[in-house]
Amino acid sequence: MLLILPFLHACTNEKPQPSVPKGYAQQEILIGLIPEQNVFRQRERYGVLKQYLADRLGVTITFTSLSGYGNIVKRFSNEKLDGAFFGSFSYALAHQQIGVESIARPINLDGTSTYRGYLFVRRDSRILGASDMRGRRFAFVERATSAGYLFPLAYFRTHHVDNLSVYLGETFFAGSHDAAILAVLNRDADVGAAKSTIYDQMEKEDPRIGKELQILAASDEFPENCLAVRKDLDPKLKTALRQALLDMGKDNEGAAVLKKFGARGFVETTDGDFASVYRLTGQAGIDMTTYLYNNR
Amino acid sequence: MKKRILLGFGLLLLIFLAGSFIAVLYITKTSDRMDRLVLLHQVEILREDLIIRIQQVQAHIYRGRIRDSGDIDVLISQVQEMDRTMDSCVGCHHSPELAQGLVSMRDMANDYKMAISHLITASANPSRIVGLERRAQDLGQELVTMTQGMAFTANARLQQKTQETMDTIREVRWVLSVTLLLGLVLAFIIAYALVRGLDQRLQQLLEVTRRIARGELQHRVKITDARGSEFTELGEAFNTMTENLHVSQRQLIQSAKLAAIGELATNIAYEVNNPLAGVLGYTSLLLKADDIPADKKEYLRIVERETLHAREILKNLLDFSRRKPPRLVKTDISLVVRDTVPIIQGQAALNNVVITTSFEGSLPQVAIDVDELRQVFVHLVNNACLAMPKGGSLDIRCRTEQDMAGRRSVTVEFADTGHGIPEEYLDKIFDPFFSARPDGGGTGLGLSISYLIVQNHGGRIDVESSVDKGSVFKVIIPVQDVKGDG
Repeated sequence: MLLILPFLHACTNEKPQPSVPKGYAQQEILIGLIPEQNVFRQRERYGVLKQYLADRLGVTITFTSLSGYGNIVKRFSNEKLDGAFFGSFSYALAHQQIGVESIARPINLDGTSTYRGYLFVRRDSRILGASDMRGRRFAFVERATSAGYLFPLAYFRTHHVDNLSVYLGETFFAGSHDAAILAVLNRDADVGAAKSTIYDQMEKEDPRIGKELQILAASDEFPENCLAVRKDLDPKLKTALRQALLDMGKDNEGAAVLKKFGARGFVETTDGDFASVYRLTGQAGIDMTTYLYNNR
Repeated sequence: MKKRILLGFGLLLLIFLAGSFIAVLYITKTSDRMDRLVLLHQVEILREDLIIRIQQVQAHIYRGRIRDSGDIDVLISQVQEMDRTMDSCVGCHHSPELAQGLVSMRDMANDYKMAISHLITASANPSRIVGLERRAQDLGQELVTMTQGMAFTANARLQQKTQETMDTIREVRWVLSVTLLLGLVLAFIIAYALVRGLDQRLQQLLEVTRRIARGELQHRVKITDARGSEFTELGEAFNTMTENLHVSQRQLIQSAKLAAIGELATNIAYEVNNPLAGVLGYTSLLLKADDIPADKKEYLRIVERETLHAREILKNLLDFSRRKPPRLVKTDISLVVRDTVPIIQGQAALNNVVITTSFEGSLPQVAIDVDELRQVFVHLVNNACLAMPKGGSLDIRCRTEQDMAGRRSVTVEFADTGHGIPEEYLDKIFDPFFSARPDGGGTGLGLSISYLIVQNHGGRIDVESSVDKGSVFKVIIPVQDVKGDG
């Protein structure tokens, strides 16, 4: 009978009880959000997740938006964040520097749970490769993003360009992927870097992107933004949080939340999934233990 | 009257309903306008709220600490509040002009949010950040200006709507006042008409009752209402009652008169009969005497004849005063009529009088002395024939009647086309020795005896007559349960 019980919970309309007993070491979880897209839209998107997880875990969930990717690592130390939805590079940095542990990441609606980095230009820019980018304006996303900085850095290194400040005319950090894309689209920059999922989504929403922009290069796949928690978080709570995310698709309420969130479900994520990121940092010549992620 | 009262109350109800309907209609109209006005005020509050929200966000941007980690959440919540307020604004129904403005405002708000988002997430190139900051500020200011402009337009509309609502309220006040006044006037008119109608009839009834009480039994209630109304029924009942009272009084007087005359006649008959017997006896003796010349005997024969006539009168008088109780037998009175007609048919034919009979349905049996009733009928037919010296028609009708108290009677009606009886004689025709005949013929006891006979049957004889048109004598015999034949 005890063996059957877990199966009885699956795929029912009843609200499943938390899969681990309550009585956690803390009753509130503070989770940071990196500004990978419009912060207001992102807050709306994660807002639906907040209540669901709070109901499942019996603890209060608070999301806090961050002004830059790099701040996540800083705020883990300064403001005692319990977890954050990291970009792949910022996770790798945080894991290396403060030991955060990845739990799970969303599965996109197309079934993937990874993304690539894109390098893109305006079609009318006559830029066809790294050699055409000399003296041009470049829009990065953040110093702590895989697609928005790590990938272009590695791209230039592969094309034997080491000193970007000399090679490029102007560089700036747009702060978010959509801002970087819009910067190129609106001629504020000549070349841009951003993650593929954001680019593809914006391309569907704004036909100008497909019409006026051109992708010059794409990176290997990186894991989608994952939820990682501090290493000393209550193990019971960590397990419960992971299980709640992994079980979301199994009940109607969770399925509805996933639909609003814009994902098929969550998949368990470990540090091993970030091998492509670690590989790319090597190509880019970055030492993550000493890497200064603050933008300048 | 009941119908009139019901109709009156129905009208009052209709007036009340009409008044209520008008009141509800206008109150609904007013409340609708008030609702719209309240809605516009709410929208106005929303707009002011929106301006405040935008200005809060603007202030946040102007403070320049927008990318500080703690402030971002505050700013996001402020923008979310601004968004919710704007959604409320857009969610309200607006005029096409305002709706278009709101769509533009929403687009601008999205640009504003995008600019803020870029500003929040921008983390390098101070000059670019300053540019983003300026762009966000400019968009915010533009949004405030646009919202204020819309608020201005909406304010003008609000003032117009307020004026319209005030006009409607004044109109409603006027209409309701007029409705109330009109309703009161109409209600008063209806109530007055009802009370007046009731009062008039009661006053008439009271007046007639007073006259009746004074003995003026010929007075009747004048019935003006439609047949079937309560006052018609009351008036008819009252008139029937008065009629019966009048008849009873007449019968009483007649009975008293007849009794007094009968007693007097009996005494006179007794007193006169004996001397007459002497006169008659000696006259017979003298007529037998041989020594009286023939011419003298002729005088004696006249004395004898007149004395016999006087004795006949006395005999009738005695018969009149010594009426025996009738020998009642339950009979169909129409049979008596049918038996009587052939007896008098010959005499009538001589007088050129055509007798017709009619019998309405089957008559109930009544307790009567057949011989006495036949005597009454013969006398009435004779009287009718005498009233039609130049001929005419006599219609004899038998029918059953029922008075208001439910008492049934059989009526035998003798309607002639004779010269009629003057009104002043109508009270005297049943008096003994009264005769309206010009020649003074008859004993003047026929109608008196007939009256007594019918009275002894518990009935009465009614007369209606019109000079030169004819008379109607009604013999009314009550239908009573009589056990046996005697």
